[in-house]
Amino acid sequence: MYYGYQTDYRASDPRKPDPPAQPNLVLARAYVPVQTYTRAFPPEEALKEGTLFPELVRPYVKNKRQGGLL
Amino acid sequence: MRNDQKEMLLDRIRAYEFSAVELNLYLDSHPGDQRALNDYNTFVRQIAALKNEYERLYGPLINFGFGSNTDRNRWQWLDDPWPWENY
Repeated sequence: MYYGYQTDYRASDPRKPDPPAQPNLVLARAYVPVQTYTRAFPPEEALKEGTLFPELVRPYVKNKRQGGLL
Repeated sequence: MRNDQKEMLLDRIRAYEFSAVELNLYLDSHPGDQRALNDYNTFVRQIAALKNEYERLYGPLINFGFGSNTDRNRWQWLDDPWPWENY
């Protein structure tokens, strides 16, 4: 069992967070690389693409192996 | 012809406002980004100009003191079609 984020887990202690639903899974660790503003779509295109920033366009591509960084 | 031009103008306003929202959200997390600040202010001016143009031709976009009533002797807010309707 990996409860790395809890040193001494006590079931009755209300302050302690509940154990994870799947005890053997590590909680996620998010990382958010800093976005830098370089290029922008022209407004009409931005509305169509759903974002002003080309680097954020990630259409869901079914079945085909999605390119780009994961 | 009148409706296409009106719809085109509305579409441009929607697109420019969307872009302003996008930059707004970016600036929330990058408040010091000079380029984004400049581009945001440019969008603000362009949106104001587009809205003025729309209201000059078709009357107020929004009521309650936001849109301007360009017809001197009639309260245009009642006129059909409503800004979001097109027929």
